[in-house]
Amino acid sequence: MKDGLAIEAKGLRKIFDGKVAVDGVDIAVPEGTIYGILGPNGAGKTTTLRMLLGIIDPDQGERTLLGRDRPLEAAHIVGYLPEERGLYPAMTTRDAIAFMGALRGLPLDVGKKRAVGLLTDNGLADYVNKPIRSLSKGMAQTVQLFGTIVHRPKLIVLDEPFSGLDAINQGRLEYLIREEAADGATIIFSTHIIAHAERLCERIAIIAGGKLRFEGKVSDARERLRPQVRLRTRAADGAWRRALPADAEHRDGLWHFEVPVGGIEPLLKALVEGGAGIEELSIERPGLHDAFVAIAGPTAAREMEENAAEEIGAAA
Amino acid sequence: MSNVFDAAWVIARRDFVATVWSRTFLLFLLAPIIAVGFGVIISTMTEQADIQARQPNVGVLMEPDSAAAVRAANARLAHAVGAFDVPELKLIDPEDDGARQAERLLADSDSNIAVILTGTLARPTLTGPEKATQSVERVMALIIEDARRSAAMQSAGIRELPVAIRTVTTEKSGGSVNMVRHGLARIGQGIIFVLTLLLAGMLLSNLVEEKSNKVIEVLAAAVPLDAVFLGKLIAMLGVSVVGVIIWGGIAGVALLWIQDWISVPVTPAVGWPAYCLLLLLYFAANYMLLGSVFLGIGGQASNVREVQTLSMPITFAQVMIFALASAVVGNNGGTMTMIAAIFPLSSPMAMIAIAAQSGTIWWHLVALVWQFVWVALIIRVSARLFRLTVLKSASPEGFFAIFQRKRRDTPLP
Repeated sequence: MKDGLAIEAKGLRKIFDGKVAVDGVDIAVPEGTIYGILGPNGAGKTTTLRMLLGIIDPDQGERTLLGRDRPLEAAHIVGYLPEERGLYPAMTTRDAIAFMGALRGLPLDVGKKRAVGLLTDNGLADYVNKPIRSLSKGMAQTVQLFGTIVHRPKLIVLDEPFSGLDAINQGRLEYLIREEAADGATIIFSTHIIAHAERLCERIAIIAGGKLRFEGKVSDARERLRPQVRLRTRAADGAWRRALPADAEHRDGLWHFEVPVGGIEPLLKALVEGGAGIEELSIERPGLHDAFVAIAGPTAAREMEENAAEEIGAAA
Repeated sequence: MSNVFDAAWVIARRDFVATVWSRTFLLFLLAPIIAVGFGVIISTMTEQADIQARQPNVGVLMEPDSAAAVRAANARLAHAVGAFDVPELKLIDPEDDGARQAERLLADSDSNIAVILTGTLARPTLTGPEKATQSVERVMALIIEDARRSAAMQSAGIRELPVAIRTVTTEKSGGSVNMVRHGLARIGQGIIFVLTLLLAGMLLSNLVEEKSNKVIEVLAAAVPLDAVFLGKLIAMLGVSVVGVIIWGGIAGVALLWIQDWISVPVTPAVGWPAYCLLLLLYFAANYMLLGSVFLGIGGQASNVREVQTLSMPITFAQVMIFALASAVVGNNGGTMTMIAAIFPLSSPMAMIAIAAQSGTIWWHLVALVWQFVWVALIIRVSARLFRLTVLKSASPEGFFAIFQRKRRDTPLP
């Protein structure tokens, strides 16, 4: 393991039934960071996470998890919340959390005590002895999340953790992720909802069609696009138009274009001297969504938006 | 390796508790007890009917003296060989037209008479359908011969003395020891076979729960799949042992009650304590061998329906293995014994039969090691197959890298 990397993967490739699911993915997750894997459904996010965790072996490539070539050797310091949540319906919430901890080496009695603590601290004390089958989907998901962190792992891997949660529970989950990161855990999660990644992550990987399109800091992804200028003028035409970039678009009464290479000041001067009559001018830094569109392409972006819309519909 | 056992223990504990604390476990425990109890009641009720059903009823249309002599001879034979093997006689007063009376009685379904005996002791005649007359012809000849002799002795004034045989009891004889030990061998095999047949089938559907509620991914991410398989096997063995202890306890109480009927003067060749211990160990080995195969096969099934479809061929396979193991009884050291003892799936049942018939203990130590090596091997193969086909995880080395401890990822070119 390179110093300071919780996960390092190079050239991961996986083929299912002749179809390439993941093709040459490189990932480097620094210790103590919150790392997001972005991509539409079917992009290869889950397969990538499964390969990182050793649930499945890659057909090609190598990976280390907390310094181990065999991910299962680090299982006791890793927590994993799979995309398809899995709990035994007859188990009580306390026992389910303790069982998941025990699988990762936490003594059962310690796990039970911590489970009660986690449930109580999160306002679920009344549910300690309730069977999983009696919980709502969101609550069961919360229980599984507690089972993922009960053994206080150094690395927490969450596959689509926000999926199926309502807005309140999504907010709680974001808070919990931040808390775990503040306690020193490394967190990697996959999502097709860009806003979560934008709010939480320091670094991201963008995967589309099984291929890695971007890997690095969120700020680096944004900086791939120049800031956007929005301009409204009193004058419809005049010499000032020559100051606008050639690819400037006029829609909804506004001019849209990137901040010119020379900077904003020469542009402003040319607009004023050219008699544009500036009514409104704003400079917006591109968001992660814009960066995603630019990096992964409009098709992947549209799929992400559709996935997110379905998600919201399902949660509602 | 201890990691595998620790993880297997966590899974075994969860599965064991989940099974034993469920309401259905009570039904699981009660079902065989109810079935056996019901069987005893029904068999008691139907015992008399069985005796009657075993041999056809014979209607006797003879002069009263002859009829009485036949009945007395029939009773003597029944006393000697048991009522099951002699026909039930019905004495009927003969009418003038004996042939017509016989015809009428045979046609009457209410009379329940299969064959009619007419004539005299010197010239008896059996009338009835071919199969019915054939089935009683020899035994009726024996009865009439005895009746004739008895009548002749009576008319000659000779008193019939019963034969008194003096018996000298020895503890055992070579023939009786072998006979009892063969019986013990078959009983031991039968116990292992029936218990495994009843209990190991549960393992077929054991992984379906994890697959349907998606727990399998949580398990696969946390522990080696070998541990999942081993844990499930241990849990179900534990559940079975609980059942066996409870059923065995009840059977033990029943045996104490009827112990006078079943005293066995001959011990198994290895002695009773060793035989009982080996019976337990071979049951565990047989359960784990077949259970690991069932777990592996059941793991490939994607739903309960597929598991149900698999049940019948698997039961047939078990019966075939039992048949192979049965060849060991009375065949000490023969080729079939060697085959049955070496073939892993029949080995436990073959070895318990050997324990009844031969006193060599070290064979059993070797056999148990051999059987548990195969359990480990089958678990390894099953887990590997599960990764390969269900999790779709083919490592670059392929399926045959099952013995490889450390997997090397393919470096990038």
